Amino acid sequence: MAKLLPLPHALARRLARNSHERDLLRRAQNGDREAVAVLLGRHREAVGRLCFQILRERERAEDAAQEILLRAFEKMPQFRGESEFSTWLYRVALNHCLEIKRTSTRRESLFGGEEEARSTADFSPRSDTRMALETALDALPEPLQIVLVLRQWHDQSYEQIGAILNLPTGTVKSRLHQARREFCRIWEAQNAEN
Amino acid sequence: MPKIDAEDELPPDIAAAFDQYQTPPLSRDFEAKFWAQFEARRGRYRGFAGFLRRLWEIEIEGVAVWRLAASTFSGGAACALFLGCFALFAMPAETPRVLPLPTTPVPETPRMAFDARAFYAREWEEFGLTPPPKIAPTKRQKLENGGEISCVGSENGWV
Repeated sequence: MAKLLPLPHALARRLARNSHERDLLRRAQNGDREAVAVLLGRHREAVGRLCFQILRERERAEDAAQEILLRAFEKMPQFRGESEFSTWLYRVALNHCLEIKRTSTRRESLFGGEEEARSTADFSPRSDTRMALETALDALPEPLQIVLVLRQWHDQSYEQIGAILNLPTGTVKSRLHQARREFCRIWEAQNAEN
Repeated sequence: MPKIDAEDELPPDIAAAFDQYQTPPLSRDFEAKFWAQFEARRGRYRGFAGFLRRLWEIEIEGVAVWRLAASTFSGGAACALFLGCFALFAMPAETPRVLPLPTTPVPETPRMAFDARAFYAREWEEFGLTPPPKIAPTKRQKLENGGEISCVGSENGWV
């Protein structure tokens, strides 16, 4: 082993990180509290952000993030390691958030403005730009909205988005292109109105 | 950090809006809540009941296996019902040929069986007796005169 050429530093670091991650996952699957704590610390912020970006309410987003992380660690034995843990976690998170969103949309359509009243009393810094961004995002169809969120706010590559949404890379690219075009059109229409 | 393609870039004002968008930090007691619930849920899977619960909650692509099985079963049943109805209504309206039925046996009721002979026998039975034997038919005697009855030459006028 000693006679082998030394690995490039970045690759060596990546391999070490991967093996460390695998080890952590294995330990977490066996119920090791310490490993769960490390994984939780690594991923909770991303999950929390994603929940807020989809649900737009602090409390609901936090509850959703709790539930997602709990489910993820509960279903850990079912994680087969075919994809990265973060990809799997994103998938679990997206499914849960979209389920909540759909349920609340159905409830809103049944019971009227109750949800609206709650959401306005939420997270404080709501500038015009923020509101415009949220409105434009909400105007997009759900599949386009999701690819845009994953790309713009979570820096996910086409391949990673494809793995999360179980789509081929080509489809991700075309969806992203469509999302960007639609978003620009809505944004410009909003600016023209104002 | 993944490489971002140039074609994927948004106009600067929109990109700036995305960059400025802030999400609130998680609350301070987030972890404490997480661990409390984590331990509570772990307790659910202890023992034999926990093992059964775990089996029950096995999922494929986020859907519980029992739900998949139930939906498959109900889907199959619905298809079978549809095909059954279709086959029933698609059958020709021609009536099937009826085979000739055998003659209906007529039960022998007491009334029908009550002929003169039965009446005669019953009259005797009521007295606890047996009916007298039936008189055997006698051979008709050949008379000399060819069988003609005549009252001529008798005392009382009868033969």
